[in-house]
Amino acid sequence: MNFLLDQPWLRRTWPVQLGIGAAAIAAVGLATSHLLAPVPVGIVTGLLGLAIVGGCAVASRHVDEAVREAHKSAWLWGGCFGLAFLLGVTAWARAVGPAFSFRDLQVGQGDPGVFLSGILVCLGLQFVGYAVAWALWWLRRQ
Amino acid sequence: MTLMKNRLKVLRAERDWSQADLATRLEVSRQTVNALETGKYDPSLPLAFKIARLFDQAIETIFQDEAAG
Repeated sequence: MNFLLDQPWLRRTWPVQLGIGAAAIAAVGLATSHLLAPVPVGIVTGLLGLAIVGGCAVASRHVDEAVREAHKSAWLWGGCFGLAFLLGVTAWARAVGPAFSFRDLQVGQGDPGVFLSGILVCLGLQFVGYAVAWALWWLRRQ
Repeated sequence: MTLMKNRLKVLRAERDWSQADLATRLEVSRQTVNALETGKYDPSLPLAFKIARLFDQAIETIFQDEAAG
């Protein structure tokens, strides 16, 4: 036990451990429903999101400075271009009018499905923008 | 954004180090060393000082500020 507690990486990753642990308990509660009262899916997803953010915060301290600069540049420019492209797509979809329905793309049932589709499209375009910006940052410095 | 020229490649070659060797000594990635040597990435102050200490030279002799020239 002392060997584990002496590991620096264990101490540094406490946000990740907290998020994963809480999400795991909630997930078990959902699955079994007699260890805990059922926990809303949003809380489980939110805790997992916190764990991912915590993991990214920890990882960012251990990458070298050029990689960190590439990440920041990619998030800024890739994210902005992704959102700009999304505005164009949205304007096009509205201009097309009845021939195109956002509901044709929805993931899941009802309004939450449409909302989720919008979020996924937004994230997807930002991710593509990020990947392109990341690649360009390194290619320009070769 | 003005980037500085540097003598990193020359100093590395004098010691017969590969980019990977230099990266290990500076505790950065090989890609960072490559970006530094091509002059397309300026190091942070801490890294610049680390480079100067490694080669036992002043920062100004390793990195040339073209605006001052």
